[in-house]
Amino acid sequence: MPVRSRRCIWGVRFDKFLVIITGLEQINLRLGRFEANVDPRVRRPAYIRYQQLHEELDKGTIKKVTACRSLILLSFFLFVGKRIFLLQQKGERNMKNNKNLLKAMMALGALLLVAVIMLVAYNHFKPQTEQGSKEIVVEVVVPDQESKDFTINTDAEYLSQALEQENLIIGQNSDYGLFITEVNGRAADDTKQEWWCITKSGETVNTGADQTPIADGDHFEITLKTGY
Amino acid sequence: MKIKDIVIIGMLSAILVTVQVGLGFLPNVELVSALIILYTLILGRKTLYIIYIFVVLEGVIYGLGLWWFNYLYVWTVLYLIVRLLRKNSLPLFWAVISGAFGLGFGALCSIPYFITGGIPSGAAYWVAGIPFDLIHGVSNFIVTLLVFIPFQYIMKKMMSRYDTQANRP
Repeated sequence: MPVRSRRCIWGVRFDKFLVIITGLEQINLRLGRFEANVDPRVRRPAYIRYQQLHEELDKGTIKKVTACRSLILLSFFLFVGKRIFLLQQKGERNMKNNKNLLKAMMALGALLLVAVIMLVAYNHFKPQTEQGSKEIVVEVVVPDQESKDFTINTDAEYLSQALEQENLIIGQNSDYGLFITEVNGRAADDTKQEWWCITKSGETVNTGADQTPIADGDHFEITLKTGY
Repeated sequence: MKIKDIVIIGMLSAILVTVQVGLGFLPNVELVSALIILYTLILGRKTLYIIYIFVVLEGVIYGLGLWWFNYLYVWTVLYLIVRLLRKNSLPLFWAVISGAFGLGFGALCSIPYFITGGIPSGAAYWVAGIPFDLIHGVSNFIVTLLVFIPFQYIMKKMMSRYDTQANRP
């Protein structure tokens, strides 16, 4: 086998053409390296033609120039075959991409559906507020101190409104909702990881003070806690 | 484990913590999900180390609370989902996964409340958090869609450099 030439174009060894054209050496055509990514419908007939030319040159039935012309034509066909093959591969890739895109779009649709269901569930189950006047008791608990009860009469719907009405709390409106910093003059110290915890009759309240609805007769505790 | 692995895991964990603390002021907008998805796609199993280093550091920074026990499994759930679906490469697909994780975050975090307080307590906790879950889902979707391609490019480039250096005689 000849050493692989770097001057290999379109699957046909180009240096052999030069040999044919110059005619300096005895023509010794060997099978060139046909690249794998050529459409098989082109590669096979091209290969057969290549062998034919090789045989005819051996027998001396055709001229070198004719063989050269045929080979150039052949390499052109191989070139076209390679292009077709690459285009086909690209098409297959595109089709696969489209399929993936469809899958992703369907997943996105499912996601939106879940979001809508969650929104509906929230509106259905969220804590309901009550109209009219109510009386609630708020107990402020600070460790190592006696707890104080405050009775509040209010028309407010949410706890924070009732507390602010009595000037019992000072808070900051954050993106997460109302954040209580001070209750009945006692501020929570950030540096000591102190915070105000709201409970309703001893049970945890999952909503912030500005989202906790109140009802007549409710009992809330606001406790100073340490450590997040 | 090679020293290079330790360094890479350390660096990527540091990025994760920095990004979490840096974006902490924006409620429910985070890069952690997007980054964990990318880490899992590119690093595979080593991501578990990164996740737990991140969780421990979060505990150290913010103090231990019930939320911290959520962190012990929520990110691993995301890791497992990504491992299962790792054949997909479309950014849109991962944005959807990230968004779904954001939507489900509240539900995942309410599991301890379901266990400690029964179904009513867990359900109340979950419902109270739904508005935040919705924001989390939307923001996760958008953030992942935006950062997926550039971050993946950078990480792949870094990893390929790391690999070639590792294979150098």
